[in-house]
Amino acid sequence: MNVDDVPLPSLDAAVDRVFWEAAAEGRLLVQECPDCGERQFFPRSWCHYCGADGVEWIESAGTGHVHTHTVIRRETELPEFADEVPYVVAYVELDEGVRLCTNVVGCDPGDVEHGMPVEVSFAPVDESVALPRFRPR
Amino acid sequence: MAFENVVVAGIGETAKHRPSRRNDQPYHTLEEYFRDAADLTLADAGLEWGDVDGLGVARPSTETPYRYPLMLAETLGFEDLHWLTTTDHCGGQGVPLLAQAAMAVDSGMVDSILCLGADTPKHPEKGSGEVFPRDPRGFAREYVDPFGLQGANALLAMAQRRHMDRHGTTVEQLGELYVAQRAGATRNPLAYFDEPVGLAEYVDSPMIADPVRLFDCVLPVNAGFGFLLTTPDIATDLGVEPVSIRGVGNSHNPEVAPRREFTAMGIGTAGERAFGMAGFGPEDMDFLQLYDDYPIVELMQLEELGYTEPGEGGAFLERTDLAHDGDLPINTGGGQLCVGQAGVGGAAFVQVLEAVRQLRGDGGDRQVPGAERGLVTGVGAGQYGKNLTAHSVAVLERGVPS
Repeated sequence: MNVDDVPLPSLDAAVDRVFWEAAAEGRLLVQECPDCGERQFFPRSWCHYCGADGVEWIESAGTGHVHTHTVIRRETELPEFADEVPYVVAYVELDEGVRLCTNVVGCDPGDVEHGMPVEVSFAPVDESVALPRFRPR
Repeated sequence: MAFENVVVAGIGETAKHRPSRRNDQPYHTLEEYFRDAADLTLADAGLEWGDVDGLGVARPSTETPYRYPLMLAETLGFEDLHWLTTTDHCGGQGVPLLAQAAMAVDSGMVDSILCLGADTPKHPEKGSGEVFPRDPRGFAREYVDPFGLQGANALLAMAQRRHMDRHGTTVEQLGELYVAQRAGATRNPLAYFDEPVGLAEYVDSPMIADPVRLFDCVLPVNAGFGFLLTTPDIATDLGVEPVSIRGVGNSHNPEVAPRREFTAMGIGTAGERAFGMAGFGPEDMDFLQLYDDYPIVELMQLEELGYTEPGEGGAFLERTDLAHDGDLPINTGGGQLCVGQAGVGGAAFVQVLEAVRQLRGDGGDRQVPGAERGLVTGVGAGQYGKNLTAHSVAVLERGVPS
């Protein structure tokens, strides 16, 4: 899947810059709350579950499985992806317990299945952004 | 709590248009649809523009400036409003606007309130990706859009895929809803679609976001809608057939459990609140007007609102006659899948207005026999890692509050 035309994150917030700077270096970060122990994604500066400040970053092993997915056949809202059709959008559940919205690449879109084991594979877009996509493992 | 001093006294619904380069359908502005909807609603109630002291506006998805509801009041010509309420509840808006407006009348803040919803998702020169403003800096911009999730089509496709994987739900079972609603739409002169469709044609419709097909996707239209609430005394003076609001319940962003099941909506809680306020249960409803942006969303509602067991929705659809004169009439006028959905500004108004028609006995050749009360739902707001999370439910009943 081509990455030249994807809409990029704004990187307005410091918390988002931490995530994307790590991704550009090939590290996948998620957050863990030292107070309640829950892990969360997408990143926030506070705990989504108990409201505590001071959530900590942990590095994911980058492995997980497909929770659910769709094969995009028509670009109905994001015309930038017209040339990529068909492609897979999925929620992948990491072994650390959080789910990420992502793409499954490296296989025929029709071969993606519920529960399929996957691992992260970073796709560089520019100097500051590399997209954490997943491929079968 | 009960709404004892408010009724629905008028409704209005414009024609539906889908202007494009490939047809000659008219393109009207957002404000023109609002005005037509207001005219139709006031005429239905027998009121003049100067007679209403409250205005409710559902925020459209077509790009508008901040303060838009006030700009709209100025454009339309409303003066000295005692109460202006707005909703920004995404897909479900007609139902929470009904609830907010009912509170304003029931509490005595206003004598009557005109509630309007309109939107223009179809522009003859622009694609839908250009009509709707995007998230400038939230989780959609940072963590969703870069992966090309194509809006609600893709989100609900993932909910449908998981329901199929976990429970064996089939495309043909979901098609039962669509086929029944297309049949209902042939009896509704305000529906965009006026031809029936068979199950094979539904299954064979083009794939958009596998397993979601073209006929699973709600039909975007340009349109305007309105309803007017007033006191039972004023409604009696006007000589209209009143409809009362027996119960309302909301649950927005329910359940923040870390590993929420993707096929869970959370509308059951809103349903319990609405049924509890009304003093009725699911079995007491003569029809359901279920928010329908996709058949899978209706199926999940049927499971969570108590009409069938979780995971059993597919089999339930197979064995249930959904027509206006069937076992459980659902979206009797065709629903948004066949009438059309006007962006989020007009969302769920199809449900509210069809319920009012049925309870007034104005259902024509799709009238539910002996309809005394019915359920309407409004649903919206796809979040991160979840399907839809803004839920509003209302129980409506024929006549003035008993």
